[in-house]
Amino acid sequence: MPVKNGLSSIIVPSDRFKDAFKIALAMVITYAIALSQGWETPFWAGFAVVFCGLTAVGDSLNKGLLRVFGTLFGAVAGLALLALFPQDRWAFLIAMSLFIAFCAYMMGGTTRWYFWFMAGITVPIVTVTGEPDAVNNFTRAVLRTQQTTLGIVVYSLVSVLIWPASSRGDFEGAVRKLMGNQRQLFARYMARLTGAEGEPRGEADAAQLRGEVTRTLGGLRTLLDNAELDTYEIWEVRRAWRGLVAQLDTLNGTMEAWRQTFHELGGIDAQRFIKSLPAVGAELDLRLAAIEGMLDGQAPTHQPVDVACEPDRTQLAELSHFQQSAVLLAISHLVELERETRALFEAIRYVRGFASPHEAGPVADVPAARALLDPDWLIGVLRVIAVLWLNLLLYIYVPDLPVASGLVIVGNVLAMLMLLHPQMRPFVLFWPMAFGTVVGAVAHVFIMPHLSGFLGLGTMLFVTVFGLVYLLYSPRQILFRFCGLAFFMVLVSIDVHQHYSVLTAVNLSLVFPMILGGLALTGYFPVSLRPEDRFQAILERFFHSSAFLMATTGWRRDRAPSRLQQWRKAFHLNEVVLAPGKLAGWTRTLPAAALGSASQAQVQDLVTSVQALSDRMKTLMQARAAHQSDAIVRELREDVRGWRVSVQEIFARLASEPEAAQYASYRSRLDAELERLEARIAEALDRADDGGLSSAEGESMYRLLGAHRGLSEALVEFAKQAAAIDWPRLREARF
Amino acid sequence: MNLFPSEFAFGGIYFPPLLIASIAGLILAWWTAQVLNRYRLSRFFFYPPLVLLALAVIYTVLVGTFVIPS
Repeated sequence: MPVKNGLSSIIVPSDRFKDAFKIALAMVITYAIALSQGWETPFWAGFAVVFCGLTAVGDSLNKGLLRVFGTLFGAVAGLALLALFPQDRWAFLIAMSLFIAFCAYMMGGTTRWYFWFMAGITVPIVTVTGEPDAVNNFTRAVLRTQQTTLGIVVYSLVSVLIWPASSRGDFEGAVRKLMGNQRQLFARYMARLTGAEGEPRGEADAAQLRGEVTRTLGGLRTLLDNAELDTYEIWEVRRAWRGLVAQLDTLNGTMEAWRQTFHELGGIDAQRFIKSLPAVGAELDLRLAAIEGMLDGQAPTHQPVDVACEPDRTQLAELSHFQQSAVLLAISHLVELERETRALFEAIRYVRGFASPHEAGPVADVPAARALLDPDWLIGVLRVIAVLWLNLLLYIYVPDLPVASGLVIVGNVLAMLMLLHPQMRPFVLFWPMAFGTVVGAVAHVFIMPHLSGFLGLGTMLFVTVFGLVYLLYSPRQILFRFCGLAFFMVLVSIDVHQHYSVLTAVNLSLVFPMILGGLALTGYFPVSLRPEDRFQAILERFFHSSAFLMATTGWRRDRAPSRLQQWRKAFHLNEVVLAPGKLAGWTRTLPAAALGSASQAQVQDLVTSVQALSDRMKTLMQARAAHQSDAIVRELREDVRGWRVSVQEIFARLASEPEAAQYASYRSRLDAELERLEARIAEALDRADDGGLSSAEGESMYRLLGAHRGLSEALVEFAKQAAAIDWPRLREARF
Repeated sequence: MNLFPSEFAFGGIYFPPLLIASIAGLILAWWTAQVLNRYRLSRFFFYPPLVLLALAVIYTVLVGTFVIPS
């Protein structure tokens, strides 16, 4: 057996070998075609092979198509700008900056960001490399598009014909893993709710599962984009799959909202008040298991059955009003989970072909509206433009700057890439760039002059590309791999009219520190991108937005908000929803000097409490949108108003002084407020009962109260975590 | 007194004096910033990154004028 295994490992090559072989072969073919046709700058075609050469056919096709169409769009836009401003340098540069800013902005919130990225980087390539002869601009635009298409076509053919790998497995595997994790989380939450013994792992593992779910969900849409392109079965029902991915997002949100209610349930025996809880739990578990089975290709052994999730009203009346609100809130989330898992079951039954052919397909995905203005993304765009102008001014005003056009082009490419990773420090690129320069320079100076034909050139290309991809295959080495390959292609300068010059390598090695210097400088000006500054700014905006959203709960119900009010509310809700994720990203890069006496774990705990606040705010907004009894609203208006104003003031203060959060003071204030409201609700209910309060209205009111209480509890938890942070050190100015 | 610094030659390649002075200026400014950070003196500045830039310019002028030989 070991001999057989050993042989099979030799005969069946690894993914690493296959990818390296395919990229190297595609590179040689690409260069052969480009040189035989007399197309200049073939390294552009090589770039397309390197950057779009991914393992699965769908991944490569998707990225390749985005690259081709992005390049085409950018090239056309570049020529149009040149035609519009032929004799006016500054008007042209301003128009070009605006176009790049637009592309950079459009990169946000879409899986097709690569299209906009390519469009944004192509404009300077077309307009700057053609200088000083304007006739070159058109030739450059055509050549760039032609070479990019060549690279993509060649790599696509190679990947389809040699060891083709489908993207379907990755996508379906991710959905399967996601459902498995959700099922585990559901079982865990049910065990917690029913007080079942024997939970094998703790909260840390649940947090890890939640993290995995978030990560998998984040990449699911891109995986679907890829799978659509190389798998007909996915393409055929692509709209249903997209709808399904949106359903998975919603399910995750409901699970989180449900989990958040456990804190308020406290020591309440939920099973006593929700008699059908075990039946609901068992049904949902069977349903999730059936979904997993269908994803594995097995026909569903279980069909969804109706389970009512109702409170035992007699038992419920024994609880205080706030405890009742917590139970009802948990029930409402369970009902949503029931509805969502049923819809998910139907959707998966349809896409996996287990539904009857006469059955109508599930509701397809409605394209989500673009995210509203995101200030952090706008800051990133501002940085792209700052880098562009810094390099443009150097290009225009510093005479004899080595490879000045490269400064503008590569600076723009890196600035746009850093938009996706704002936490990345520019000097992380230093060693990969140095490595790439050395590889390219050695090949250009010591190997290229000895080659006399394409056999030698092709062999050198194949060996170098294969070696770099094979040796730097790990995702951790991706910067070294891309820089190594890109610099190798630029520096060896293979062209129709071959020339050799050591100056190419020397000039490039002088330009790269300048590019990194420009990127580093724009990390401080015009807006500071230091982790401690971003962390504070995002936290401040989070509390400002929370204060605004609290204020909206006081808007009159009988008057529809204006368009501007609706837009502002949506903007602030977006801010509150996105802030915890952004804070988590910046937390990891906070320097020790900024942490002071606090630890990374304590800052993470603070971010977790911000996440809870964000979730509670979303729940409050949803509960507020539901219909409420006029009588109850009238009775409790003043009390709820007092609470709202008080929370709003706290949010406003925390925006400027997060250290002002006092755990003991908040706790005692909240407890006193809850006690007072408890009494007022009892009185109000007594009076409202005389006027005929429907059970739906009563439950709606309880849900709203539960949401208010949940938010206040989350605020108290934030105060507890905020005490551990060394705020003066975090705020302290440093170099 | 001739205030124009002379060019540097390394291995037969001539480098402009301003390049050398600015590299030295940046290194000195960075080192000063590290020292100020180390002793938490940076908190007395309104916006330290701007101070770093100013220090780099000052050091570059000083090195270019007094250190690099004419």
